[in-house]
Amino acid sequence: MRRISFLVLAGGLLLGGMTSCKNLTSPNFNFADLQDLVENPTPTGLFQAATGMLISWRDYVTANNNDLYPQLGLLGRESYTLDIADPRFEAEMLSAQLSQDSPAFGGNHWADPYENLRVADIILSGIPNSTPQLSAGDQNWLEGFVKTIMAVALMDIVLLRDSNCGCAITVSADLTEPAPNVSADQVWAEIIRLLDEAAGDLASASGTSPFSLSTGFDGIPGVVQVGFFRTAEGFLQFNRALRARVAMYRQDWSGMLTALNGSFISDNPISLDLGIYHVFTQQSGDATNGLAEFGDDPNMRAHPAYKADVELKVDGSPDDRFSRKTRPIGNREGGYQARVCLGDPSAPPWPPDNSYVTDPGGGAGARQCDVGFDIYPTVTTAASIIRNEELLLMRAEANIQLGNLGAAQSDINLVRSASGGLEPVTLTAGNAIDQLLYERQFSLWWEGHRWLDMRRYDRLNELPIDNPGNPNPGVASIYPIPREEVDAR
Amino acid sequence: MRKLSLLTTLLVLSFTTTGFAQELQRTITGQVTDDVTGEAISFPQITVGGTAAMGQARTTTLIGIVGGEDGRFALEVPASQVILTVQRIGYRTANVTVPADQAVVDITLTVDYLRVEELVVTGRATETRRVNLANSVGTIDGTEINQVPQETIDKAIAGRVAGAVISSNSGAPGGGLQLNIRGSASINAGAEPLYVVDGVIASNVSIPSNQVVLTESQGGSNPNPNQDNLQNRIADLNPEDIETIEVLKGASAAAIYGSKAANGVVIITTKRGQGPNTVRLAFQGGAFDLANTMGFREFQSPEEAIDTRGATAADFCTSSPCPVFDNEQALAGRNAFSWQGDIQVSGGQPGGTTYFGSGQWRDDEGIIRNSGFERQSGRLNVNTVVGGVADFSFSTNLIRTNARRGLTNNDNANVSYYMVLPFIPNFVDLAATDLGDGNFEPAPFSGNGSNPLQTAELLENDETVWRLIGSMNMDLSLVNNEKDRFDIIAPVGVDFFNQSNRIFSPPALFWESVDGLPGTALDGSSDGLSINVGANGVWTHQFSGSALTTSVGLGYEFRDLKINRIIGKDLTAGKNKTDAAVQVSIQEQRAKVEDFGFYIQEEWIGLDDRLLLTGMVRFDQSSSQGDPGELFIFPKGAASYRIFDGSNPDNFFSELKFRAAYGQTGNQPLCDVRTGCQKFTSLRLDTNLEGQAGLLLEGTAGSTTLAPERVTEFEVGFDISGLNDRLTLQLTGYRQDIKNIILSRTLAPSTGFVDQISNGAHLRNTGFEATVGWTPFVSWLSRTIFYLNRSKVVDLQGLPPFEHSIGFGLILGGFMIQEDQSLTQMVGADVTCTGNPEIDSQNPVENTECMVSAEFGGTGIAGARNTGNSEPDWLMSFVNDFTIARNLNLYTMFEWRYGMSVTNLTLLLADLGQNSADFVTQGREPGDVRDCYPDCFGEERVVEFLAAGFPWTERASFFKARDISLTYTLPSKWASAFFSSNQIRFRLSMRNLFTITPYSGLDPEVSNFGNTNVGRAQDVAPYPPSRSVWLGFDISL
Repeated sequence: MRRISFLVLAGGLLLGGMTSCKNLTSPNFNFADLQDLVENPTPTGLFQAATGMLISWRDYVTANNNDLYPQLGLLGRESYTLDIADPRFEAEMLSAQLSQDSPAFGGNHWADPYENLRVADIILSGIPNSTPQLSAGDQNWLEGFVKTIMAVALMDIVLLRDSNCGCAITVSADLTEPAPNVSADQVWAEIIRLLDEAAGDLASASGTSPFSLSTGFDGIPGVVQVGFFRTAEGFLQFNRALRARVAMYRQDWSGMLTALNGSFISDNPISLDLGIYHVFTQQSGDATNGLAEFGDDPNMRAHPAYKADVELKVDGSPDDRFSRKTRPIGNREGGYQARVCLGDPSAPPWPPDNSYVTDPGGGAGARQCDVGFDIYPTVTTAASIIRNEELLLMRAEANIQLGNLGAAQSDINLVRSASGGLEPVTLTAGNAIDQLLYERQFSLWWEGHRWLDMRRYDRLNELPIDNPGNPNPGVASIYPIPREEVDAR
Repeated sequence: MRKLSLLTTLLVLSFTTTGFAQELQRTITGQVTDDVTGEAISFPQITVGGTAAMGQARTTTLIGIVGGEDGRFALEVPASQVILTVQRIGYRTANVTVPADQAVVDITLTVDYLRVEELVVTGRATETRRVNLANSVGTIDGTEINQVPQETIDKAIAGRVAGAVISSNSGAPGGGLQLNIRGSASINAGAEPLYVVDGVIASNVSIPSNQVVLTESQGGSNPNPNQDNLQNRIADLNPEDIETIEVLKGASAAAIYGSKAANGVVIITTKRGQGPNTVRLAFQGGAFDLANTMGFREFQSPEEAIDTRGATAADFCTSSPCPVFDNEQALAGRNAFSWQGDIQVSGGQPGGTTYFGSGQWRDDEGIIRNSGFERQSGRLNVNTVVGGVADFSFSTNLIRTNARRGLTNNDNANVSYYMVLPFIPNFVDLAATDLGDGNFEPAPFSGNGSNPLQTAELLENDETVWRLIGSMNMDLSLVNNEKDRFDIIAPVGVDFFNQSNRIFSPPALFWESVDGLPGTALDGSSDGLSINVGANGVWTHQFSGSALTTSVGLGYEFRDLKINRIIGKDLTAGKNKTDAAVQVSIQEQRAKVEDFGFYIQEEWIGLDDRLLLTGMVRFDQSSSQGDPGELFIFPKGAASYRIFDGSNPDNFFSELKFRAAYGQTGNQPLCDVRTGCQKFTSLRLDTNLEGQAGLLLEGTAGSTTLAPERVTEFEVGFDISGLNDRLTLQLTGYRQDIKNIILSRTLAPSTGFVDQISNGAHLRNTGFEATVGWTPFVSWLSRTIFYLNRSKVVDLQGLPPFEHSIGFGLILGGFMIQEDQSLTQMVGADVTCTGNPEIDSQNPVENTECMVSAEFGGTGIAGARNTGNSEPDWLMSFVNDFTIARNLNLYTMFEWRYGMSVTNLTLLLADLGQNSADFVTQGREPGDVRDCYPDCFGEERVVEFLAAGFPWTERASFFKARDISLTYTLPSKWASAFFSSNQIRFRLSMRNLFTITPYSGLDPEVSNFGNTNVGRAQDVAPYPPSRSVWLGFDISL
């Protein structure tokens, strides 16, 4: 009897166990579920993902000292990063060959743009299925925006990898079967297709963006209405400015002029900074500008060559662009300084001790790392994406290439005077490109252009090598395809 | 579970009084005494019939009694000859035959030095006598733990269990220790054993303080804030409360804990009261002392100083040799008074209500100013028996701990003490920069002015925990007769804690203004809740000399951890107030897991108590799985046979047992409080653009089919005792195969994802454990433990060798997961290797260890070699307990670990600062690394590092004097005469008195990344090690 009651009880326990086990849950508290956005797209979800694309783009450009701007700054010898804790800034970035095995350096700026392509893919396939439905105008706005940012991502990929592509231009549904690789030319064709399609979408949209674009799209009050680039009209002009940049890299000089005509290019001397920016705040969850450094001993420093390269104004003081963008800082003593900043291969090879002496002047003729950046005087100073000063120089370049030296000269002199406080120059066939590169060097300092400009004109060999102690001294000309990508294919 | 034996006693009493059984016709009286001291043994259990020797605790005895405090008893028995079985915890069981005509019997018991009588938990609700046990289960007695006042429970386990390796992550007060049992069993899932305290699954989680906001250590390739010198929460428990700790080491013993037991189970049982009301008061005072320093370069002349450190060096060194100051001592040379006070009260009538209450206040003052650990703990354990059939057991423990951690471990901002010190030449007198009253000068040569003395004085990094652990266990005895016994056992447990982290880094700190945001305040609050409830039915049936125990049970567990943090930067007012900051950010992180499982277990003991057979099946499911509805099955089978069972005292071997056990356990996929469950594919929500929310892709794709990792273990062994129990030997061999290992597979980043989580891979641990107990004299007890484990990555399922994510890369020395190699192998870049075996074999330097490039491909280095292993080749520990004179006792515990390595990146820092003690190359030209490796000078190390990478991995074997204590017990007549006390003891004790090691760093026990399966043994600016000396007394009233 008791045995039976025991067995019944035991059976009951077991049965209870079998049946009461359906509702165990671990909610995804910290995150949104990706599958949810894919399966149940809503306008809010899609708009937030669009904002996410802007955040992610900002994150890989200016959040850290190994992001896009400071790394291109190192390659173009615009800046130094004297980080004693991380020798790779010297050993890898100041070498003729970047390493595909170094995710934070030679392998960098690959996964991030593709993340944005994945998000773009989710948004574009979500738009038609959204509940509630998006209005036709909002659809066009969102598609125009997403395709423009996709083009930016692909441009970052192809500019850095160039002829090393094979690169994918879409993301695959099956994560273990990546999308097929195409050549660099085909990547450029896709970029052009995306930008032009986006332009068509934006032309059919109207009004302010249905999702939040940052104050980086405000424009300059008094030059354009506040929030101009958040309107479909303004964003289309941003799209055309990017299209002009693409034409520049494709050496499509007349196409470049056409695109510039559709952009926000302006001859108004006070509108040089009119453009689109990555913006920062100190609010919780937002980011601050990772390139802003303070004090007398920042890690990221201006390249000493700029002191020698700079043109002087009539009063003998340097180009305003130099004065505006730099500040004197303390020099560093020690091996790294001696080797990199002074170009002294006999200096001891280990990184410096932490000591430095404050010597802002430096010896006469000495190339010293005593120039700091003042481009970002606060942690919330915006970082430029594209602005009028570049557009003017692009128009000058197109005109030089098309032989219109007069038109080019007036744009160049406008920039020289308004931005640099310099006397006008006379362009000749012989000096035009040199002059253009000088203006771009100082006008667009540390905005990610110098290295690409010198590469476009096959002048990387004119840049300082800086690190003669490196086993492979020289200026790297191209980023490799990262190891993870090669291995997974 | 120890209450069961008590319950048995109570039932015995109730039966004798209700007169269930045979007719009782005579009375035997007598006294039970200790066979050596002759002193009375209080409360002995005396039973008739021999059934109590039936192997298991849950036996039915019909006649019995508990003797008095003086050991005297009077027991009614049948008229015929009887066998009395006499038991008392801590003594060997004695069986005494009393002829029909004998009425008085005096019985002596032998101390159970080897603890063969002890009951060991083998199921959720059952236990087995150690003599029958089919597994090697490590047991530690509370009295042994507290020979030396232990700061935390896990520190107390070190060296006392074969198969368990306990390592400090740093020397910081309040711990941060990893308990690793039988090797590492995972790559990406949990590394922690399961802690069960009085039936409650207690949290041992490590929650970062988030000091990363100061150190920025999460930058670059190490995104986790796990370099914050974390405390693990088992540190909250008061070691003085412990009765025993049992360690179920492998799957074969722990299978009943299912998918949470892959790293072993630590079962902690706290003290219970019994007998007359007693009070024990104890106090110990002492101090900690810096145990080791790095030692830095001594400059021989002003010229050398200026040449190395620039012209400013002339201000500090004016004559040859340069002065030498011990700046490490200046930082960490504090010997502040530390103390611990305890009170314990206990008592109660067996069969009625018994209680144990305790209170502790412990205050450890660290060797660095402003660092320390404090604990206030109060406990009340009550047992009460209702109606003779229901035994309720309550445990409550309220704890407050406070750890002041300072700022140590890796950092990228030049702020952590030992990140700064290696760059300061020792001709600088750092102590002179302390101007008093909290005023300091910047440390010369430190770059950002960072002065470790100022940081230690002004920075606050406090972790305060309030914790309540409570449990109730009900044991309802529904049936109890000659043949059958049936109990329902239902435990409920709750463990709740709040961990509050306060960090205040005032604007006055010289390094605080570097980021443009002077001053940082952080307020972190973490709430952890775990609840477990269960119900078990246990039926024991006796028939023809055997006993069959069937148990079934089910259990539900719930774990929830939530962290909120407010971080304020730019404190213009200089106050420790987060909302006074200009830049305020908020974090919220949460994870919750629910588990459900049930089991059925059969234990059969027979052949005159010689043979034990066990079979069990456990069914488990968890919300952490890809499919929470899927049941995973973990079986177990075990057998033991006693070839000699102690019945013939003339045998050389009094006991000889062969045992074999097989079992499976699991390791659940992680549900990390920060990164979420491994099964999820997620979009980040925590970032915005000017307040506008954005969704960002997480680079890791999850899996909807993720299953627990599965450990299959086979264990065999012998337990032998001989020479009248003066010699015992326990030998155990085991093999664990761990499959379904959770891997992160690298994807083509052009998919938008970096990697994907999935099951695969197969690891193996094979090991051997030996414990030798020896009692050469009654006054000398000796125990030696030997343990080795060999780990092997059997199969990576097609994955190429990969570097483990925790670490700083092979260029400095890292961890490569590679088939046919140990899971914890350390690999480093080496210029003398090329990766091409043909070239390497022709190299005149011994290059047999060079790896071929396929083995380290994709790591960005030209050549590599295996540089060591973070797991020791073997370890031994030596426990000796001498009674020198009648009242004087010396206890020592030494631990010897051999063959492991540590990557000494603190030395790298000193090398980069041209400041390591052996920096200057002597007798050869720097750069000639092929001649020096691996014994290079600092200068050579840097040259090689810059050329090709250099592994700063060193051999780090050690011999440590963990515990030494000398106890004097006041003769009892004096104690009672002068203090009316039962016992007064005085004790001098020392912890970590000395360490012998070839390791050049601070302490070979170190882990910058805290508790982890792979990636320990990385030394980056840790809190330096200390030794401590204590003097104390305790009085029992």
